[in-house]
Amino acid sequence: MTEKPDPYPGEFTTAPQMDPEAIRARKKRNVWLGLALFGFVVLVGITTVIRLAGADLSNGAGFYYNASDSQGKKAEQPALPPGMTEDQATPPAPSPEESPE
Amino acid sequence: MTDAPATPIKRYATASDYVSLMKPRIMMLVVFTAAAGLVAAAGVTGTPIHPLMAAIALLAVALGSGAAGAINMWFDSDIDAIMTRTSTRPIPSGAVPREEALTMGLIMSGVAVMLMWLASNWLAAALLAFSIFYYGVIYTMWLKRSTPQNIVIGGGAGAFPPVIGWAAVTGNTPLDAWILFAVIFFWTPPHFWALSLLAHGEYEKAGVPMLPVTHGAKATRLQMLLYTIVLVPLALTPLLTGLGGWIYGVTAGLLGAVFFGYAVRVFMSRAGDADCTAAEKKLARSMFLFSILYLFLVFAALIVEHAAGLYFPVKGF
Repeated sequence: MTEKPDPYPGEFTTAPQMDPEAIRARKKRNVWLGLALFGFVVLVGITTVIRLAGADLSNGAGFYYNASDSQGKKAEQPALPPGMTEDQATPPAPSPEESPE
Repeated sequence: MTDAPATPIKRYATASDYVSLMKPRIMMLVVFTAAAGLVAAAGVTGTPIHPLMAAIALLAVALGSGAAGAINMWFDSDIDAIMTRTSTRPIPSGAVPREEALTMGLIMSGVAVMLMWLASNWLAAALLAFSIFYYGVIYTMWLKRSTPQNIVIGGGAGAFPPVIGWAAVTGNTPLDAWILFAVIFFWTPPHFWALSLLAHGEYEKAGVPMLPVTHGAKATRLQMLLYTIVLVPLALTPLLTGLGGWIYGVTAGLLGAVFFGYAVRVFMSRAGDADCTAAEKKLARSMFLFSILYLFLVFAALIVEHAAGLYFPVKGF
């Protein structure tokens, strides 16, 4: 009967074993790390909600949050050409004839 | 018969080891002074800040302070192992690998700056990022091992929190914020040198050029006195700008007088000399402890005035 040859140098025959104390310590660290990550997500969520609550997200106010918008200041409109009134600048509403039947 | 060499007891890192990496005692003072800057800014300028945003901004300051502490412990683990006072820290004691401390410091730095930006504005976030860089790189990696002025210039890192707190509320940093910066900046040398007078043998062993090691205890005691002479009137300048009222003025004045008294007594003593007595050592230690109380109460006075509506301006200033 021939014996099983030794593994080549560097080969693990078994996974490295950790003693129970090391496993317990790792478990505890992982729990804390998980809680820290959860806390971070919650904080980012809270910050986002508070920021959005004070932001003006209406048309023309811009997609991105602007602190001045939240204080009731309207986003500036481009100036009209000389001689043009606001009525003239407003696009005409579609007439009934143009609307599809 | 020879004794067998003692085998170090194997330690496994616990959550408290990672908390120790963040230097929690320093963190508390950092957060407190940042809170003072934040509250004073809201009180003086009348700019409102959402309480939750303020809390998150302060948390970001705490995380930034912890990150800088972890980077400091990563870089200084070699000298920490030599000095008795620091040899039980998580890295030299073998509980936390160096690379983990660095990784933790870098990740926390990013998280802290990002949270600050989200909760307040880019200026406060940039100041926080710069203060972490100042402590972790300028002080720890450059100044600490190269000049006896290490803690004078490096003290700037610890002086940033009230400026960051102020910027978090208003988005700018006026003179009042920089006065608070200056108070901490000039407070740091007498505070730290009082401790290093007691531990200069340790610093010498580790090759850290602290002032008592390079210039001797007598020169250090003189420098402590000079910085205290600058600090005490400087701490009263908030009365001139309207930042501080009666409560602040009385607190800073009385405590400043006691601080100056300590500096004079330490200067007249032989604290830090080879032949100093136990009473003189005790005096230096008392000055170190009192300096912490001084900074805490001076900033607490500001918080009380502006948060509790007890601000009474000093007329005539």
